[in-house]
Amino acid sequence: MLKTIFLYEWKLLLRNKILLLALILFTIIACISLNKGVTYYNIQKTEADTVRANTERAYLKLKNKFDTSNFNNLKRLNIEGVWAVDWSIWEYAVKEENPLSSLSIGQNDIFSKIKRTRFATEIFSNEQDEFKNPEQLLTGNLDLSYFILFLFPLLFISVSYNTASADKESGVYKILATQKNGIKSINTVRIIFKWLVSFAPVVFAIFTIYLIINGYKSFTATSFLQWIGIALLYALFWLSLVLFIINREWNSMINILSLAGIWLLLLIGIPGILNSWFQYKYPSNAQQEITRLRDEKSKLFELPYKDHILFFNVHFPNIKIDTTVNDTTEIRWYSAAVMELEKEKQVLNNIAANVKKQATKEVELFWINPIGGVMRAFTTISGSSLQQQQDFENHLMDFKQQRADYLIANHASKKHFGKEEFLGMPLYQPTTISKIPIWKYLLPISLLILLLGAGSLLNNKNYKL
Amino acid sequence: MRNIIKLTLTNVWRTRHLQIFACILLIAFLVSAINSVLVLKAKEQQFEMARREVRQAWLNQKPQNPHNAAHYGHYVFKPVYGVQVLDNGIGQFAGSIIRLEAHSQNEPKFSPAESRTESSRFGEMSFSWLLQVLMPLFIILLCFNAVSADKEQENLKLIAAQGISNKQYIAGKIAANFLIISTLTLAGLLTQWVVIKLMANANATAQDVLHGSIWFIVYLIYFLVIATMSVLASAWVGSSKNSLLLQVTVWVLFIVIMPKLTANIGTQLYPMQQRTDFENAFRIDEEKGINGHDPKSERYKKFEDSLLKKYKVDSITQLPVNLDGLAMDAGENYGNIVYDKHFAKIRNTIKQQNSITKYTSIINPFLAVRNLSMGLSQSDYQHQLKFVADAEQYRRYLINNLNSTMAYGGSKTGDWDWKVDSKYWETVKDFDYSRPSIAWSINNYIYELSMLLLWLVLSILFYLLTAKKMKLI
Repeated sequence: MLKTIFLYEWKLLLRNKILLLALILFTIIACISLNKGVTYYNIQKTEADTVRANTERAYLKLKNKFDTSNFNNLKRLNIEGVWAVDWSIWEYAVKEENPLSSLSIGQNDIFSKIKRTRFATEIFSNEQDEFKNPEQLLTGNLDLSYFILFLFPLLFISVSYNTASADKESGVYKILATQKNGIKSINTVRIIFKWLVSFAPVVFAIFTIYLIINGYKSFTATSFLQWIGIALLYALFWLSLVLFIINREWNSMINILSLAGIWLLLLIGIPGILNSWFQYKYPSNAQQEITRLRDEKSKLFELPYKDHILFFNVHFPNIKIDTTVNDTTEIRWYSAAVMELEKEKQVLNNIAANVKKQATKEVELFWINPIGGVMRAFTTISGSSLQQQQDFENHLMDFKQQRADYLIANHASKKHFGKEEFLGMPLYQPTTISKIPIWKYLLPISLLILLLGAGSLLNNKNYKL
Repeated sequence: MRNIIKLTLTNVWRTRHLQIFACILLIAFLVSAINSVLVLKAKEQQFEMARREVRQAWLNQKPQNPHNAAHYGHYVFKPVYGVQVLDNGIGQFAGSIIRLEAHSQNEPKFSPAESRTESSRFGEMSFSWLLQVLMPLFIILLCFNAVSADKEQENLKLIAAQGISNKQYIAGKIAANFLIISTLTLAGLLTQWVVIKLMANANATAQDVLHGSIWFIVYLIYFLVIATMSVLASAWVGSSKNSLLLQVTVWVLFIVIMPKLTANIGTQLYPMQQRTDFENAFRIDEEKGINGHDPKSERYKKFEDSLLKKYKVDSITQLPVNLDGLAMDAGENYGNIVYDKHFAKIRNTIKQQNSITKYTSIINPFLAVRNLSMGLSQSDYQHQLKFVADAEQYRRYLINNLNSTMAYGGSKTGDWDWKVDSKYWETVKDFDYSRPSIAWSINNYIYELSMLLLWLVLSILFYLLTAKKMKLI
């Protein structure tokens, strides 16, 4: 039966010029989306590589300075001072590029992926951010995940909405009913064929992108397969939904209206409403936190000297302040610098806590916004989710603290910060991208597939001829 | 024609699915109004609080060297307006705060989307979103079988027998449907207005009302175009089913696919300059000028000599002014030229990228309306640019004021411990953003407005052609 129906549908497909045109059009759009993702990834990678090379060059230049300088003849603060080293090292933290971000750009075009590691530069500074076009951000990216989420269902709905009803309307239904396998099985197989045809542009795009990105550094087959798994799961959801609707035996008009309505609700209505609600419920607290940070930081240096000494001793318990090496102003600067970093970290944590509350609530609401769960799964696998950005920023913040501690401890305890100290200075090491389990994002859609599948299977209604 | 209108209205009134859709739209209008007003109110409060705090921090500075104050800097915030309840535009994706400080022009930062998950990319349910995305779909459902249903039910013969001309028949259909659409839209606008009045202490100024009224007219034109095209498509396409399929396909193409496609083509054709390239080019130009913090440089020496000549003295200690302040100011002036040159390139690229969407509005009126809607709600990129430009003008005033005080305020060159007293801070005026007028907003979107009107003219011509060519019987 399977072969016969597939052959029959294949013939129909070849005869249907509009459908063939639609398939070609969707394949072209899939290629455009693929090209968008790959171009975006390549640009990001080039930028990251340039920054890494610049960082390395700047380090060698500074090392050379330390190799050749006669510290006795130089003013201490000009080359080896805490802020001089911090400034002249020109080191950058680069968020590791994930080749799968060419499949789902996610929030990557909004987040800052390159930041200076200088401890005196606030982590909130946008001086290294790529230039952004807000209108482009508003419109969003036509990447492969968008193609799968939004366009694949449209193609599938348009080819399958009248699978049973058209036969009924044209009077072929009675002939089909005489077949031994039953109309329901025939319709199911026909819809599966149409699902496969609609999924063909996606398969083509996935295969092509595999050929492009499998040679990229840090490409992992497991993540790629997981990404395909999510795409398949989502496509299965639409298959089960269409089967469920077609089995209701409504006429073509009601079928198309119901399916288009569900598409609209799931992909535009519910996410749009929830997005607006989140904006109100969890407003960004970054603005106020960061403007206040500037004022709080500016007051730290003016704190009484005894407070600075106390703080310094607690923070650097192993360092005994030597008044012949360090004057009181220096200790003030050191202590204020560490205090500033602590404040900065606190603000970063406050902002992150606010965002985390929102992200957790969103996961709960994936039960009414299952497509949001699929989107989150895509971005997580592609390393472009908010949590991964926060991990990157937290890691950088910890590093800034480490660097400041090292520089201050060495300056406060030694007469010179020489070559040996310079070589022992910690350098930024990229954080490993945290593995976030994605199954919880996909639970709602999986359950929906099961329910819709069961609904289609258990529909034992006699087909009306 | 009156009978046709009456008949169409009665039919629509009896159609269950249209009633349901209209109810959903009305509820959505109310929900979007409440949500938008709450968000706007929170933004307004945040803006006011932050503005006051920052000004207070500026005024409360202790006596200190003006150049320290220039590094301490100032924050300016992008104001929010009542009319933005209608369309938040790029609000989610554009920074609304700029740090103003000596030596560098910072870009706006902290867009709300930076602290949001990927869900922010699904769009938000604002009034404009409902009108741009859902209303056209409602119009399609309303009009897709306006003529074809009469054809299928063979009512056309009866209509022709009553002596009704093609022109009257089609005009009646269009008028009846447009009446329903405009009533619904007006209901939506009134909902927004009532919610603003009740919940937001009516922070809608006369300018907001003016912007809102023109905004409403733009949407009415847009809906008239869609309704006309939809009714006419129903006349040309054989069956209601095919008419619906065709119109839904056009909706998907125009509203779902095309905006993304054009935006993506824009970024592919006009790639943005990378930050490292920008920095490199900027540094090369910057190093050609004077650096106020580098007295050993050749250019600084030249500047020093010119000053000594001007004041006819032999050494800087004899200068009646503070050389540091003047050198710093000269450095700022040079830096401004370099910044202007390089930022102009970036802004030009953004303009070129957006131009693809702009010019595509000749085939897609949705794109024209989307831009006009953002422009009239003052939540568009042009408005963002104006805010950035005004903030930069203020930064120049601020830094120049501080440098001049250092130069002419009585301090000597090299005396970095010299301080201005606390009263000085009050003499520096606060940032006062001048809201652009309605004419300014419209002027930015003349092309889009022309395209919308062109679509209106085309739909009228199409109506006349259809009335002439269509066979009722």
